Amino acid sequence: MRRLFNILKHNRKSKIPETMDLAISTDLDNNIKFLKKQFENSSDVVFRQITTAKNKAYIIFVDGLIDSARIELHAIQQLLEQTPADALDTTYIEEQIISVNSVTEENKFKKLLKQILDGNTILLVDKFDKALVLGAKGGSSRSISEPDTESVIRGPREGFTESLRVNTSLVRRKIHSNHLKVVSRTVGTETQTSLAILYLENLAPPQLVEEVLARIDRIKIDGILESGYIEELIEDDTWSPFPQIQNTERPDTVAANLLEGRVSIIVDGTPFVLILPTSFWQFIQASEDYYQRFHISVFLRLLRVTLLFLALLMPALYVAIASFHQEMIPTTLLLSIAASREAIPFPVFIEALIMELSFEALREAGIRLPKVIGQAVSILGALVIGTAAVEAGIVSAPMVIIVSLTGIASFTIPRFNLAISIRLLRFPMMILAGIFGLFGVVLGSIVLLTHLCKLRSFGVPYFSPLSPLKWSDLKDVFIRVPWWDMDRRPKQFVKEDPVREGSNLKASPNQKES
Amino acid sequence: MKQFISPFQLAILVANFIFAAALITLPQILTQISIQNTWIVPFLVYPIVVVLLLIGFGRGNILQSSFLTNHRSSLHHLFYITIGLFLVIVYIRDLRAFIDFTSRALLPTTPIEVIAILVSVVLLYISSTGIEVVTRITVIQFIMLSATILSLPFMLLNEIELSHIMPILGTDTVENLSKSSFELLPWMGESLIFFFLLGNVAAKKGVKRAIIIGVSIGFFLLFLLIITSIAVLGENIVSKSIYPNFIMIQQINITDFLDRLDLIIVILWMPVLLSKLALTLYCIHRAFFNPNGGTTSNLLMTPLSLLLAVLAIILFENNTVHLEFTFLTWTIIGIVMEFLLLILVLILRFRAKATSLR
Repeated sequence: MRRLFNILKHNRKSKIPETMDLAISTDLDNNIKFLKKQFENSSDVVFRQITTAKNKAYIIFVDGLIDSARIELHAIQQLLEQTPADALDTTYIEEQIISVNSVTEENKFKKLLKQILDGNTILLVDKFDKALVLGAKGGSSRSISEPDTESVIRGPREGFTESLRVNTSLVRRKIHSNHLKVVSRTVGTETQTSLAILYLENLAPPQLVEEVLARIDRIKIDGILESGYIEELIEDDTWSPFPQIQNTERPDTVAANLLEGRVSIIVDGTPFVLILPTSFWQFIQASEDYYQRFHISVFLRLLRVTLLFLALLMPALYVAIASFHQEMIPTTLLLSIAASREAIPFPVFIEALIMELSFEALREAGIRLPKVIGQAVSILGALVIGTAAVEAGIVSAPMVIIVSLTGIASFTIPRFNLAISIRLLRFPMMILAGIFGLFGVVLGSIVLLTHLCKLRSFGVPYFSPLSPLKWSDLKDVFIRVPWWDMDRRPKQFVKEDPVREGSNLKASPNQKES
Repeated sequence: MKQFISPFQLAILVANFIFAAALITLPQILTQISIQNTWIVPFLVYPIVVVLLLIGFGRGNILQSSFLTNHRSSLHHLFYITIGLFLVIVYIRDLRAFIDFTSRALLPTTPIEVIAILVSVVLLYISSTGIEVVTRITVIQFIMLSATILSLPFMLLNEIELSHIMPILGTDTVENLSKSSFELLPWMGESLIFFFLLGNVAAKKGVKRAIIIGVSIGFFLLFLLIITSIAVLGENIVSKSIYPNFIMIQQINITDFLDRLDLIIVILWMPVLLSKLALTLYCIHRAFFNPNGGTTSNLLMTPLSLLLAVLAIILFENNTVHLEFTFLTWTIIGIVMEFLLLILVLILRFRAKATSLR
């Protein structure tokens, strides 16, 4: 009691002290005084006094975070009307009066504060040294809608939201298995952000799960506002331009990856869910590849791989060939390019830099502008850059075509984080091409390839199954074999239970039932 | 932490090691000696190399086990120093060949010193990642190059004249073929790198098969290039061109549009040779500074790489001097050092066998 009083005397910050482990006392007034001190100058924290069975009680919650209707109907009303005068204790209230579906007890202030800030409602009754935590979170949040960044022609249209529980429920709806484990963690001393680590117990390697949890537990930071914080804090090589953790807004993508033995991290407050470990080739796979028929998937995958290389190398190759190795260009095309470049005052390399930087500026501006005028400005900018610049003799028409094709190629990469990495890497390749021609491009490519082969994502080689070569896993990399042939999970992730479907699944007219 | 490779990766490494650099200028000297019978030479040298390697490896995995352990005898150290010196010469020779070719085909106005420094920096980065990564990039690039080489006869079908490769038997045919075989043997004997890499192969099964497959692939690809270049260009041009294979791929003419594929094929080949150079640099560093292969310090890799690059420039005044060394001097040095290495391997194996029997 004296310790509590001393703490109340001093001006403490709102941060929940790590060392404070005070227990709730039976004196309601002191408890309330302490809590009001913690939440002074916080007008959204409501202290509602009631009388139940002739005992004073307080309902404490943060306005906007709770489901007010449920608390009013299933807690306050019950307490006011149905509480008998005698034999009143927290167990009786919990089991016979409150009809909210989640009720727990707490007796430490530290946890109580966290519960209030998490959106739970606290019931404190005079003469009881325990508080009841009523789980009736509410508040307004975005409804489930199709993700903007990962739309599909065929496939589910639901996407994650900012609510952790909604997101875990979306995954639960896909995987109805008791092997699906959801481990909770809280990160961020001020934000106290909740995390949920999902994995399938029978598929995910235990060492992987332990490593993920260990890396998360190691995080010491004041706030986590987005899954990108977690990504950068736990990935293997932050300096690498390539992402080593995938993020997605789609529950079906998460479910599919969990079924291949990977681990997923859901962060409260963001719809972007992390999936790890990951390989380079996952970033050119779209969820739609698995829903359309395999011929379409094969075509789209091969197209994406080709366009990936074009997005990275096309400007560099043009600069190298136009500057150093003109003999490679067929004669008619060479004459056409030479004619268009005749009046251009800049070398090819500078011309390419001007165009690429303008294109990047236009793309970035298109994201930041309000939707109403964004489209108009984008079109105008493209017209200005494309047409006017060519007519003014600043850049040549072939360069505009090259840059446009490169831009389109980069848009075909399904994952934005890889697409932006490729965009960044285009510039050093162009510089190498401008100085050393094709030789520079070769050196740059081999350095990139070495880096990709060296990179690991939670112990899994980043460039697998191409390097190290695993023939059996290649059937879902550059192509996608029919579903009746995808009988095994990727070997680099799942060792325990590699078989995912039965044998002889290919249907045929004369097939006998097995 | 020691890194390990699979027998398949070992096979590709060996194939790359004997093929990547040999295709640059070697066909010229071979064709000078044995004219249009040159395509027979790989068939003569192949069994010799395979037999020597199998004799060195012996039965069982005794030799592999002796390299896998961390306890090294003085004989092991002697072997490492010898193979280190051998690889230094190989590295300098190949690096200079690569620089000269790049200077001629791609960057005629760039000083070779600049090319050397640039290549050395890249090789330094690749080598410092370790044998596992070097192997992975070699496998990817070698497979791509092999597919290209295999398609060359089809791409040059319209240029091939079979009369160019009709074997001509004369009084000096056997002598010429023997001389060519003597010329080719030290290049193919570079497959002795296999013994150095044995310590990085954990698998006990399939190692012997891996070496045979690797050597076979290397020989076959070289044979394919030699026979195609002679069939397309004729022995006259091949024996007089510094880079006969480069001249050959310039003859590719599928349609009017696809007749400039030479630089594209060169772009596919360059990373393969860079992989070989990276592997050589890694092995040199390990032979002299890290024979157990257990520690990961690459502190001395940088000065080593730059030193070797400087040597590659200053030891050869020009390309002619380098070619002279490659065709004449290297043949003797290579054969002597390879036999010395083979003897050391045999002694190591016998000693390991004696130790295991005790």
